[in-house]
Amino acid sequence: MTINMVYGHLEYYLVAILLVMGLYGMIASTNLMRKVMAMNIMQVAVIVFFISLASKQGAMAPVLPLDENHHVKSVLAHEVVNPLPHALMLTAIVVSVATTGLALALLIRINRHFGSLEESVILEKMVKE
Amino acid sequence: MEILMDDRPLYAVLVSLLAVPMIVWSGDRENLREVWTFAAAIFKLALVLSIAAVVSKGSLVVAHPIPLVHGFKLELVADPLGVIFALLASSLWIVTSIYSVGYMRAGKYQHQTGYFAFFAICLSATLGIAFAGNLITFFIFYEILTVATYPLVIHNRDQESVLGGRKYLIYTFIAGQCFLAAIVATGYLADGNLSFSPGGILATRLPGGEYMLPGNPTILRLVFVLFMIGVGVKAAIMPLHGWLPSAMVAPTPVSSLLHAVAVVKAGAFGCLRIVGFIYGVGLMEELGLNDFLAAFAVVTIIVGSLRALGSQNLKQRLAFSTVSQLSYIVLGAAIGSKDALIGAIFHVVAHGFMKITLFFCAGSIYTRYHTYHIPRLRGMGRKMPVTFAAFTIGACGIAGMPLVAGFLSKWNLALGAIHADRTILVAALVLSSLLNVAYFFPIIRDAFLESDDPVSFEECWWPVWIPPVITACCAVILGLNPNAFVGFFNLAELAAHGIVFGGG
Amino acid sequence: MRHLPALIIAIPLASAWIVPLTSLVSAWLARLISITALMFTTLACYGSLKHAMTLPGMRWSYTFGGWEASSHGGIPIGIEHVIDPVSGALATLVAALALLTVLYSGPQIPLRRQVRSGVYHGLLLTLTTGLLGMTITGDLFNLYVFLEITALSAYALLAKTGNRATLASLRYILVGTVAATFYLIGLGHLYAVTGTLNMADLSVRLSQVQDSRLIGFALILITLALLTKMAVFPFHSWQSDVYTYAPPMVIPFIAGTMSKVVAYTLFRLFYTICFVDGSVAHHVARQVLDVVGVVAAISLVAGSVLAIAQKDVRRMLAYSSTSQISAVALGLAIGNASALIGAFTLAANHAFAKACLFVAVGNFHHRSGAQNIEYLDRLGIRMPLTGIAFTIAALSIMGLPPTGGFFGKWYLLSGAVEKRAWGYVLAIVVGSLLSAVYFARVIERLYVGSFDGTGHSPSRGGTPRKFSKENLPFLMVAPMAILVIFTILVGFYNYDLVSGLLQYMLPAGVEWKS
Repeated sequence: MTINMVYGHLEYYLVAILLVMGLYGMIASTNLMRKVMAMNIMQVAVIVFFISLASKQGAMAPVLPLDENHHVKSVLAHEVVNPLPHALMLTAIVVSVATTGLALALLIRINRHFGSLEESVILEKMVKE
Repeated sequence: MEILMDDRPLYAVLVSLLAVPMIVWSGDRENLREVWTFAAAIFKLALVLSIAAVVSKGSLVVAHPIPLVHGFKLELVADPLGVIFALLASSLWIVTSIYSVGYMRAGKYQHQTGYFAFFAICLSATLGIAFAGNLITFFIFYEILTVATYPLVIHNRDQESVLGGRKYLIYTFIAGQCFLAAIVATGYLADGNLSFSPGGILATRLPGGEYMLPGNPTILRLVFVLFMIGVGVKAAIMPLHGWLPSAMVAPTPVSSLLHAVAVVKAGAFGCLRIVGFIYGVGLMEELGLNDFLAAFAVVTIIVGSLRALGSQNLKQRLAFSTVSQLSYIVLGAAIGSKDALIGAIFHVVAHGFMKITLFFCAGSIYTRYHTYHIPRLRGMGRKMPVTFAAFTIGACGIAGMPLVAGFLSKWNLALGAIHADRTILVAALVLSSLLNVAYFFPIIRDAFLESDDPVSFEECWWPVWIPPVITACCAVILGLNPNAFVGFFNLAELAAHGIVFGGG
Repeated sequence: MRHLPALIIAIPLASAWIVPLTSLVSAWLARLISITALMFTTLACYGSLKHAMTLPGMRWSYTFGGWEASSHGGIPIGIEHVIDPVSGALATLVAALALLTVLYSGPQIPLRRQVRSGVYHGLLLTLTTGLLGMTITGDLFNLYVFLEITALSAYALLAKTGNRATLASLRYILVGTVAATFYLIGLGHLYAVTGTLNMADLSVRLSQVQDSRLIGFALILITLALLTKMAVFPFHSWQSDVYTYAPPMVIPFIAGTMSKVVAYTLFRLFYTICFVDGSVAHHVARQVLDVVGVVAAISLVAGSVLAIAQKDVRRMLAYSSTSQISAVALGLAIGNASALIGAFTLAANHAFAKACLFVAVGNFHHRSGAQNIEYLDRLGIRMPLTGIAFTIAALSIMGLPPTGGFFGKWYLLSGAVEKRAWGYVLAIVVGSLLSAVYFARVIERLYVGSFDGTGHSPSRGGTPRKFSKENLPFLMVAPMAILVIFTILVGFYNYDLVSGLLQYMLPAGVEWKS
């Protein structure tokens, strides 16, 4: 039973570990760059979660196959992975990329002004202004 | 009870609001600006008088209700009690406006446009309170009055005024929120009914003489305490009276009309409404609330007079005198018998005229001699005989001497106390009268008799010394014939009858 | 006409592309296009609302691309947008506020900065798209998409003004992404157990799920995410920096609309999705709501307390927003008819009043450079119109009659008393009193000045400039006037508002007591 609980749900444990890593990294890091990286890890956790939801035993990618005459063959639902979460996660990846890009742009600007990405240094310089 | 559906109460409330933009537009053109105030005041008084004529015969004038929130409407109802308050406020507004013109111009005060504009808003709110037909309408105008009086309190814009204004806001805001909580609770207890109804809406009297309570008696008592905090701050019941002496930093016309007539009377009026028209005297007795209220009233009466005795500042002495006198009204409400209620309601009018006379006199003295310090008033009576004569009449009335209006209210209160088997309260009234004499007569004696100067006439110009004369004369006339002018006493009787015997 | 709901999203989105491109050519043309687009959007929202009110059930469901969204047979794949009285009204409100903000910003962006202004308009339009999408969507993942569109636009708009703003934006990014992540995980759980993302369908399928732990977990995660986005204490810390450093041409819109749209989402979560009577989901939702109520009550008071401690007007207003939106959340948590109506009324009133307050503060800053309360000495007299607008809007948030805030508080208190939740009553009363403290302080400073000799601290609060007359451009005064008038109208006409609009939004089974 216990073995099944672990082995049967390995991917969800992975999700949980990534999520907590990301959260911890965001809270505990003093470097802004590390915080952004941790944020990325968190987002990856969500993506893995949804993909895991979509998986089925023995299923293949949700692409309709062609038979010999190049006609589209129909498939049964249990032969292909659930495509909906994949579509959702494509969107989520795009969002993640956009957010990371914006965060990096802001980091560049901060670095240019304060000369460092360490929170303590930045706070010191901010107080002096 | 005949009901007349007529929008005159609504117009009476709105008339002064219409004057406000005109006053602001007139700006510094002083005489034009004052025209609007007087026009609005005269219209207002005319409307209220016409309403009074109808109500004196026993009918009600009800404006068409305006929907406000789900389940409640903005109701303006002119019943005898409301008409009394409205008449007092609107008639005194005219006199105070004359006085304001004189005082402000003689003292060369700034911000006069704002002063007259906010004054008009305050009077609108006061009439709204007077004619409010249910608790939510009452509350709306009550809060508008609070907000509109603040700029008047801080009129001088110096540190003392600002601090006084802050204190005023703190007290009245907290009171407002307690009041709101009590109102919402009542709406729930009385099954969605918040309308004032003579005899109360909270309990139904069963044939056996018992009361069917809508809820836990403790909850009813708690809600009553919240109500009393709500109105008690404005009515200056101790220990909630602290804002009133501080608010005396306002210019004297503000102190006289607002803090001797409109604001504090709104509190006392609210108390009468809650005791008579929401809880009902029977329920009060049943829950033991009337003794509770009477205790606070008696303490306020006595301690207020003692504090007055201890003040060396004339306005402060008058402020504490007001604190003390207002609790006569609260006491009458607490006693609950018909004569006590008549006395309390009549005292609304009587005290209004008498106290405003005293404040006008104080303002005249300040305008002429720039002092409120009592020891400095020695011998002034010979130089300002008219003012001090009016002061004497006012003081006599407050002390309860016959011939002036104050005597009638005290007499009825005492009678009511005896009828309700609370003779000890008569002792409180007598003690209070003695204290009143103790703190007023030395001023008068010093002013007139402690000097060898010949009698001269150094009064200010006429808008300053004539109004106290007018109000003093009114006080005397009302003392001789309480039904003079518009039948105040008759209205008081009608109102008291309604409260004690229920509507009908 | 049939595709009006699609236009609500399409117009701002398309303009968000066109405007920056146009600005390369001509700045005023770009601005014109932006204003026109927002006008059409507002009309589209209003038209949809009107049409929806004529339909049976007052619910206009529009599916994109014709893909079936409701499960008459199989699994719904399409994305559905739903216009009903409250979503339509909220959409109109958002679009109108966007229009007012764009008009207001006109005099503040120098025309020679063409590309900058084009980018600003573009971002504002995407922000509008996001908010409108969040309001009318009927699909939970679509909500996430629009939520992120909103957030990204806000991050970018915020970061334009200087270094503190950049840091504030970065912090906002971090917090906002955590919230969105939590939302997705919660959503994932719900999807996993029902197989659908469509809200209407989800409510049907969720009512059949028996696993209360899973539903509870999902609900808690989603609620946490939404509460963070609404900036309820203790998840509020990002908002104070954001409101303080946001440029004045953006902040009235953000302050006025963002938290309300998220609050509406919270409402739909609990009262549309998890509302089938007797189901496990309903039971769990009720429990979560009780906890939300306690958090909201604490936040009401805490927000006001924090606001009292502030020196900068905008930061004070940010904490005030925390307090006010918590009142809305409290209304949602109490859950009876009065409380829900109170929550909606307070939300509408706060949208107008807060936007007006920020516009007024922007005007004060525009003329005098003042940001800190100390610098507002007697500004109310030198700038009378702005002073009056600020005062009335402040009175509205304090809850004084006859403004809209009073009626909202009335309904909320009625709801709390009806439920015998005396703790909530106390929280609402104390919250009102505290809000009076910090607003009265500013109003006093505006009209009377100060006497305690508080010196002006160096440049932190901006150096005040001298000026003689109010002299504000018309486009900076007009939006303020309109917002103030609407605040008062929400008060005067609140009965019509409730009987004509809001009461149709009460979920089935929630009835007036009397």
